[in-house]
Amino acid sequence: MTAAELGRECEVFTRHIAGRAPTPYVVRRYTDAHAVLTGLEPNGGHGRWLLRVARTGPMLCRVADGWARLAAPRSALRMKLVMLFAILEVSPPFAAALDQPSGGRAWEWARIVAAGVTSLLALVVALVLFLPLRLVAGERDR
Amino acid sequence: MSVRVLVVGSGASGVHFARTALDLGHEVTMVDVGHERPAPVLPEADFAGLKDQLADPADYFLGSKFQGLVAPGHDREYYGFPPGKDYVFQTPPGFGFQASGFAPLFSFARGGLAQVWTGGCYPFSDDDLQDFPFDHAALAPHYAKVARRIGVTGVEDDLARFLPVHDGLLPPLELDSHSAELLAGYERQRRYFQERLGCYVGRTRVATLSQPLGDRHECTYLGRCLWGCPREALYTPSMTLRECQEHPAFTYLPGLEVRHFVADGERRIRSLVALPVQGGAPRELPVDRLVLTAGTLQSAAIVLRSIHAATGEVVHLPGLMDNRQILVPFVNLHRVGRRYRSDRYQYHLIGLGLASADSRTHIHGQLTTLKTALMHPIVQQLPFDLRTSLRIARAAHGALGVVNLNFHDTRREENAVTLADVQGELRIAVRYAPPADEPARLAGAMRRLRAALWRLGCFVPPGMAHVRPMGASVHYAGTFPMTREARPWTTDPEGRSRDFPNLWFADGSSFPFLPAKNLTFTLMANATRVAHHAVASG
Repeated sequence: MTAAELGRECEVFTRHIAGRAPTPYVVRRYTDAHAVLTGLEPNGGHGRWLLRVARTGPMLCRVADGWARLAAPRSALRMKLVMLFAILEVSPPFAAALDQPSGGRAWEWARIVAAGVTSLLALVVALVLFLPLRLVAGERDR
Repeated sequence: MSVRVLVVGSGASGVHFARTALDLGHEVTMVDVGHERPAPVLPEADFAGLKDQLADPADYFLGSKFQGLVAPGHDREYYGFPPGKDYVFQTPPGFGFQASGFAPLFSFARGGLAQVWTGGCYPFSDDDLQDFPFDHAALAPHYAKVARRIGVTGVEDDLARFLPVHDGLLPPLELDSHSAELLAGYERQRRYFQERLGCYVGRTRVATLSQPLGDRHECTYLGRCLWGCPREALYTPSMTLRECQEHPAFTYLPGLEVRHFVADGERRIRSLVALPVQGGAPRELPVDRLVLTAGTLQSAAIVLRSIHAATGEVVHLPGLMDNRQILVPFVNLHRVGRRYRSDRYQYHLIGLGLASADSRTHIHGQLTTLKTALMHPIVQQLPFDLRTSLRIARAAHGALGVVNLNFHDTRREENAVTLADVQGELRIAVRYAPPADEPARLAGAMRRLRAALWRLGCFVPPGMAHVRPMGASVHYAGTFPMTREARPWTTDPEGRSRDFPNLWFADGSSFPFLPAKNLTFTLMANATRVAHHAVASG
């Protein structure tokens, strides 16, 4: 992948995880990681399809991510997302925002419930999008 | 009369042996590989400040090759060591080992494996010392001596029934709010805990300064314990090595990997053979008195190679021990959604003891509440997409904690250290099998711990407790046990080898029993005790 393609991918994935665009530093480190880490290339049709869907935008990225967590936890998509999250959690301005509750206890509980419901809905969409290919391809994990 | 002592290794045992021998007026030469700790960055910044102020925070926290990243599906034991501590586990060229049922860690760093300890200082009681050829009273002055050297904080509380109180304790560190709530919960229900669960909770003793000591500063709660305390409030053995290096009678020889020693016909050791790590011809160092403090496995390897070099014999050393550990994560339901403070002490501040009918087999645990930490290893484990997982983890961060349970171990014949031919090279080989009753013991302890945590409002997520592989606790001991009666491959009560008259063991090699405690503080105290005998005997 070119640096520009990785930059676009980083932007979508960062919006999915953190709800905002990445800084130039985050994009640079995300790109650097692709030069030194293994496991960031999909090795089958299911893995490629996951990545292709995830790159289209933050909403479908969430759908693909939720599916990958359960059905393909070692997929290239999960590798990229976890690596990006690791960069975000040590990088300003994301570091402070990602690691502390932002409201009161009741508000936090409500947000957890809302996030859980959204996650479940995303999983229903994921079943439609990914399960057929998974069954047809018969691929395991990645 | 001053004697000359050659010490191998600069870990917790080695530096306290050396420091004591120097204080007693003797000459000490220390041979060591000695990989060095990198200088701390931004010494006044707290954990959050590091992320803000470092030009390249990902390089510091994750490493230049992202070696600090915990990738999905990682299948190695997770220790959480940051890239800045890679030097602790760097090995010399050509180093290797063979292991079965045991996952050993080795260190060739200045200060050894205790460069990455969490500072727990737990004296052995008379119950713990039943198999030793001396009692607690013989060690007590050495515990106090070491405590004054390194700075140990603690109080006399309900854990004193497991942890004898010694002189030289500093006032305790400030509790974080989560630890304080858990301790208060125990105190409200003390009777239930003690009578129904046999569970005792109190402050851990930690080698972290609550007030200045020498040129070290007191803890100011930067939340950087794991990353290496930049104020040196958390003690590591490299600090005592530095003190030794200032002594005119001390010679430090880094960059040398000791291979074997050479003995004469009366089994008196005459010289030590070491390989320069950078390459070149082996060096032969003359020996008057030799003290092995290279750690149980490395000390065994040196003796085994020496015997093999002299006779061709491959000896088996039975009795290797290590503490089985279980990591038990928990969620304090009262704290979900509450903020936590990152400017807190990062490691354990409270501990627990589970009493047993046999007083030697009590179980000890350290309870660490989660403050500053990298969250990606935790967040990726939750069964949701990362955005949802992050939302949950953020709300739960201040409610999370982990108990590290330790179990005792005994010397058994089948657990041995020897040499094995691995691809044409003789390497150290370790073999370990747990005792048959272990699964029942672990399950019983887990039931009691779950009940205790539940009484404190904490929930242990199903399937999350992790039984660590043997070797993971790095509390290795037992290959040359101290015994009252003379037997081959043992030491006398003063740590002197019964096979080589001018050889002493001052590390865990000579422990005949391993109680359910971190042994590092006792390693230091015992090395101090052995030093008095080693320089005094003829």
